[in-house]
Amino acid sequence: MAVSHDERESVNSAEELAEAIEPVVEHSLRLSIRNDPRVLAGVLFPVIGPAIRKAVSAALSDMVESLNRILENSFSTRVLGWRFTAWRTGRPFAEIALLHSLIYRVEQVLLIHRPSGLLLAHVQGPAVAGKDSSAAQDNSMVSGMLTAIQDFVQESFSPGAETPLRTMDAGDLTVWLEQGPNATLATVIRGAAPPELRHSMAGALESIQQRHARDLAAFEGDNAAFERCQPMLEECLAAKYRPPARPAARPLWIVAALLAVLGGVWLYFSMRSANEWRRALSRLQAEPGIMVVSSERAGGRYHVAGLRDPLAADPRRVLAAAGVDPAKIDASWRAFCSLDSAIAEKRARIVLQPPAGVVLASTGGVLDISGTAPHFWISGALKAAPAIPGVDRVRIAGLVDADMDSSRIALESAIIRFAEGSAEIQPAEALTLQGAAKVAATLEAEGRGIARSVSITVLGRADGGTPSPNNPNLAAARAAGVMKELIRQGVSAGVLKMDSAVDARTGAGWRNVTFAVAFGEGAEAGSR
Amino acid sequence: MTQKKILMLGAFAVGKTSLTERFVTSSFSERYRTTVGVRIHKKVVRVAGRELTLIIWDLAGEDEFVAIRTPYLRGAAGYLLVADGTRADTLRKACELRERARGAIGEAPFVLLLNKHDRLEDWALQEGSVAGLIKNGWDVRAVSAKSGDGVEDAFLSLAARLV
Ligand SMILES: Nc1nc2c(ncn2[C@@H]2O[C@H](COP(=O)(O)OP(=O)(O)OP(=O)(O)O)[C@@H](O)[C@H]2O)c(=O)[nH]1
Ligand SMILES: [Mg+2]
Repeated sequence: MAVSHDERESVNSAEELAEAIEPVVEHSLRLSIRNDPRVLAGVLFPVIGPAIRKAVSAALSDMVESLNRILENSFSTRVLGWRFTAWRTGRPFAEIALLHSLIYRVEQVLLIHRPSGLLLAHVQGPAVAGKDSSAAQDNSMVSGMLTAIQDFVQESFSPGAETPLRTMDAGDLTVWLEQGPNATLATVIRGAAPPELRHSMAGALESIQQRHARDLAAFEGDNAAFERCQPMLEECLAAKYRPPARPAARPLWIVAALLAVLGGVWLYFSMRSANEWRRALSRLQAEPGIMVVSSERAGGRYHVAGLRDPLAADPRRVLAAAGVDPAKIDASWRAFCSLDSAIAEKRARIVLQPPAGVVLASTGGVLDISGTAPHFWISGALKAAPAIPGVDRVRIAGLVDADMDSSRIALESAIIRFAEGSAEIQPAEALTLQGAAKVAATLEAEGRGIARSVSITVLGRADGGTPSPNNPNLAAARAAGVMKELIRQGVSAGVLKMDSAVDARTGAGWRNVTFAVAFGEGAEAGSR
Repeated sequence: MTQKKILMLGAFAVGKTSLTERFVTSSFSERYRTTVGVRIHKKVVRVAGRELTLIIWDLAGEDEFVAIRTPYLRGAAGYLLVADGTRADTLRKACELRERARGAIGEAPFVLLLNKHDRLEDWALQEGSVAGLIKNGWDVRAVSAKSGDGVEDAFLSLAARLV
């Protein structure tokens, strides 16, 4: 027994999966831990997209080539219009032509064993089949992924209920799922398929369930019995194109042009509503705190389902603003907790209740608080904010602590006076010094509480009188004496700095000690 | 074509993804990227002269925040229980998950892998705890996703018991 050669494809798509999932893992994990595991539904969709796209991307290049050949050789006003569009939008002509010619095409049909997710049978459109076999090799993995997503959505959104996932968008492809008791029929569609396709799918699935009831119940991994299902699956391989216009005879030119204009107008209006819906959806998708998981436009009604943060905008209103009639919308939303900056900011505003004069701004997980606020609010906010989903870090560099600021002003206006030629603290100054020590200690403690460093410079002065070479020493001695006293009264040495100056002027007004206070950000405030 | 769905079950960070990657792509990465939900891999093996396609469901590991979703277990033909030999509690978790799997899919073949065998100096499993399981008839193997020791053998021995 030996391992057979390993398909490169499973290597590649494994890498694609990993790549697709990497950027979302961190966020979703944090979310699922803090809040709501349902957000993972949103995570799974981008994973499956690349795998399905890869399986069918081969088709497009073939189509572009062949259509190009037909169209380059024919001439009609419609083609002229496309040429105009190509020129206007700068996209290749063949691509425009293909988009306009293709109404829809079923690229793959997969029959999946429901409990295990194993692939029972599958058929693909001629363009896909002709390209290479690597696409086919991915199908057994895609089949498992579709099942995992179905399981997931079923359990998360409607546990117990029989409302399985019916539609999924994967880039420019749509997957339709038809659910039987123990098999799922999936079609991968490019373009807008008509509702009749649903009927063909349901019909095919029903007859498969009937004819293979025993095979399905006893399925243990050998899918040979299901080869006979191929013709039934092929019935779902429908495609529809607008026929390429024939070269018009000269005399009929004007009639042809008129018809083309009328056709264009009709096409314009019928496509406009599809375009509007698509545009409205992308507007909704871009809305912070809203994740659209599935959407469908059927029978003149708009179905949309997904996840919504309770703080996000009203989806109905967003769609209405984008031109969708609110009366025609069927929406179902599950609550989840979004980490989007705009939502995190709203959430922070609700949790922190900032007083007037405070500005909150959130970008990339950093909550910036600026303005002026009382001390108790700031210390409370610093404790509460990191627990707010979507806030990883809090910055208060631009925030003034009103209480600390008034302490600063009080301390900076205190003056300790000295007798001429003396560095001794006068009994009359003891009270002022005591007050200064108290304010300094409070500042220090408050600073520590909000991780803001406090630095108090004790500035000793001597006057220029009785000129003496000793005056600089006197100024320093005064500062040192006051500093020692502050420390004795409980202020940490670490927050204190000393400075001294000799003034040229003479008089009692220049023989003193004053204080200057500075705040810094982020340091362990006033330690040791 | 015969296909079998198998599961990777175990606590978080025991190396389910690393073992799968070692087996499917013969690669290993030191970096820990936790699995969200499930990742699906495919590998064709030869068992008793026949080709067998393994569809490997690498599930997110279980911890106090994330529980394994029972629907993912459905239809599995067998599973690999993975424990981390350097974390004794992961062996208890493996036993617990074995009971859970039995409840969801009945008696099915499984192999218990004690992973990270390259770090024997940090081995934290008690001698007796594993011996008891072996006595109960469990297929227990020490493996290393990092060096690759025992990995292919373990997958192939499970595969052999599926046909
Ligand atoms: N030394 C050593 N490290 C390993 C081995 N297997 C896995 N690891 C490391 O263990 C960590 C977790 O590995 P994963 O394979 O992601 O674990 P997991 O069980 O898939 O984890 P979840 O998906 O979170 O449940 C990674 O950093 C791996 O590099 C091994 O055999 N030896
Ligand atoms: Mg993993």
